[in-house]
Amino acid sequence: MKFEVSLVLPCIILLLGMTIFPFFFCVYISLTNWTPPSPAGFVGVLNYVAALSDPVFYGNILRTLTFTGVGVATETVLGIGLATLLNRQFRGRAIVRSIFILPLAITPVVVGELWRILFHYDFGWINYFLRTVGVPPVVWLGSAQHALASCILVDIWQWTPFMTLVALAGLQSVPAEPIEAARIDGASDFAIFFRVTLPLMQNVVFVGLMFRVVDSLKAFDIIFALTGGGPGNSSQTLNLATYLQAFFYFRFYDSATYAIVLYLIVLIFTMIFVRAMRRMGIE
Amino acid sequence: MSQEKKEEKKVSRRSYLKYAGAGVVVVAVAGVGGYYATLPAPAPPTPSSTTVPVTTAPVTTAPVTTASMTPTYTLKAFDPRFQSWLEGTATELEDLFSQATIDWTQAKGQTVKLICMTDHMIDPLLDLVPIFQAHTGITVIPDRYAETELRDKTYMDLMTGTGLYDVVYTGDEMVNAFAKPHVIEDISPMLKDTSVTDTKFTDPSDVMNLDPCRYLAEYGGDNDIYMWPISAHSTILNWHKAKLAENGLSGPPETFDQLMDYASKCKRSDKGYYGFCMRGKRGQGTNMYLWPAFLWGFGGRFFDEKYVPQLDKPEAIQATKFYADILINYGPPGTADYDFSEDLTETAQGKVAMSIDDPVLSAWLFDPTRSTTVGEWWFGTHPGGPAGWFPAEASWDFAISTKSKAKTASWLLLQFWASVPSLSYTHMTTYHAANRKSCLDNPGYKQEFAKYNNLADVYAKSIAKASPTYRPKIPEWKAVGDTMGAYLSSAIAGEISAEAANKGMQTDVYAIMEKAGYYK
Repeated sequence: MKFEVSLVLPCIILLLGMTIFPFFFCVYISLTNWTPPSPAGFVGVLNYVAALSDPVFYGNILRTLTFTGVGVATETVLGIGLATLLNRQFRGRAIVRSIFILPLAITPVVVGELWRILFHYDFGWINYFLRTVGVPPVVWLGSAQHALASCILVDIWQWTPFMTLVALAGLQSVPAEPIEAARIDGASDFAIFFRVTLPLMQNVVFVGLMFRVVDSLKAFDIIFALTGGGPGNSSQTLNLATYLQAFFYFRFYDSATYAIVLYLIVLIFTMIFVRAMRRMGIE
Repeated sequence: MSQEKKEEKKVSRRSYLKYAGAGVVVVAVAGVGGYYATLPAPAPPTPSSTTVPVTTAPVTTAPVTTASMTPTYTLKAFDPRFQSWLEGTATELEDLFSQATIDWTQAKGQTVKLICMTDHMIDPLLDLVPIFQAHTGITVIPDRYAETELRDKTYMDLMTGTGLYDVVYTGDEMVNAFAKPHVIEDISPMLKDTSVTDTKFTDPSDVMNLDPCRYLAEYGGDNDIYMWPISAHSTILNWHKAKLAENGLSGPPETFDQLMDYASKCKRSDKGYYGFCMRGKRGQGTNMYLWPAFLWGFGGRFFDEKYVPQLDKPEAIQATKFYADILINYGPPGTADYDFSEDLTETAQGKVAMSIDDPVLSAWLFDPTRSTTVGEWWFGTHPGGPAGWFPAEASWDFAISTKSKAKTASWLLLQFWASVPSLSYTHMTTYHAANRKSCLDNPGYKQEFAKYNNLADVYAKSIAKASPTYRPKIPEWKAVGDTMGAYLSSAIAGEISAEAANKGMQTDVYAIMEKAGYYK
């Protein structure tokens, strides 16, 4: 028994130091009014009450859910579509696959800065091409209506390749026999895809979806680089607000409070996914 | 794999312990070795206090030569165009060192770790470091970050007492925030200490903007100097002579009403340019750098005597309304997200007829690598309102951390960088206007800035007028300014009205001040 314990001991120590302790310390800070260098004073759940009575806080949560919902859904649909195309045999398939995956390899902050230039109203390429085809240019980042949409667009651009890879893995794990049988029975390509292929790959795609949802709920870097949460608060998500509270306003207690709330949101989604996975028979 | 082979592949307990133990020993030895290898060289014994009791009469000392140290160094300008200027500056600095009034080698062997910005003003300062290191034996290690990250890291390092950096690069709006909890060193005693302050390099009376670096008594301070400025910033109106003339206008607008009128006349979609541009992005250092000029100009103020915000008063609402209206109606689309760089792009590309921003932007309009409209811009002081004109006040400064173990070495570095030759080189090569009067009389500097039309003259007027309390120097300014900036940005984006924006500012700022204990 001692031998087994010694094998997992390094992992336990790491977990305690890097995950468990910081988590409980965060909970502790959320129950205080700590602003360095002043000492912390215990305030109980006052910070949570203040957060829950702040309309901006609810706005942050709503924007987070919008960002995640729209972004991940689009990435999933596009990812499956692209995977279907990339699963076919054609010349140069490997090169094309590598090119499609490139956005995933770029650091999110660099992606944000890059798109900030592309989105520029006067000098950006996006508006240039829009003008070329006769579409009026759009105020992407400087408009409260479009700022969050712009962030979602960039997120889709960067993370669709991830869902493509996941869907591709799913597609390649689908056995050929059911598809052949369906074809022999006279099913159309459309019916084969939706009635045979998709159900067979759903387990793999579901796992990828779960990862993306959890990751998207915590999105920070792209939004920070693109808009910084502005104009106003129109693109501010909960994770960004957590950062701003700590490092802009130096209100560690509010930051910790937001972090715990975000953790609970992520936990709820994770539990939903795990339940769904059990029902689908995914171990 | 067969069962026998699987059995063979299993690691025995003895083997595991042997290899694990060996691994731990290797890691431990490497860690200890690495720790000692990266330790800085031991510092020479230092006095228990860096300050010496102030004497009633200044003690004159004979010039100290540095003959024991032969200054050899290689100089390389950050931009090859400025190599000859750098060498000229080195000659001037050598001349100063030859007349030194202190022992510049007194902190020999120490290391100064500093955090500074990736911005251009640091490049020429770092060019000069070899000269400093050669004359002092002090090693300088810079850590550079973009502005937002710099502000965050500096704040964290100082407030948490980490002590990672000896010298920090920060704005003077933070002087009270850092001086109040005593996380930055009081420089005033060092200024009076003639064993560490070289009068050939450092002359407080020559610095134009030292007052904003004081921890003022009105904020509970001692009026001492806590930061050392290397630049002075304000706000200047940039106006395109040809574009204004094209619309029947001559000269810059001098009042808010004129500014709005000129902007309306100069918005020419047929000609491909807008009337006016300035920062709209939220932040205490972005749109909140410019908005106070309109608040003061309309007769408003941030707080009353008891620090109760006055942001829902008609004057403050008028300031927000003016700011939002001029940008919405006559500015480029998307100004709610405009920072300094967007302002510069629009102005330098000739996409606007007028803009208001830092003199740095104004000078860069003459940089052919940045501007397609070199020589076409002229400058005016910030337009005024019914209560007068109020240009912005800001500076970038160096401060010494109270956790520093190399305070003397740090102060020597600051003196070196704030000397007339260093600042002249810095400001000439980065198209800045210098903050030392002697720099303005420096022949090379004068010659260079004469190329910038009337910028030097307007800049001097603005700096002279700028008030140290342009933005409230309260420790909570970061939170207050960012909060207000978010509302202003919303108003510029057309999301909310000016009244709603100011109402939001009033509520949130009051909550910040209440939480900070101002209303007990």
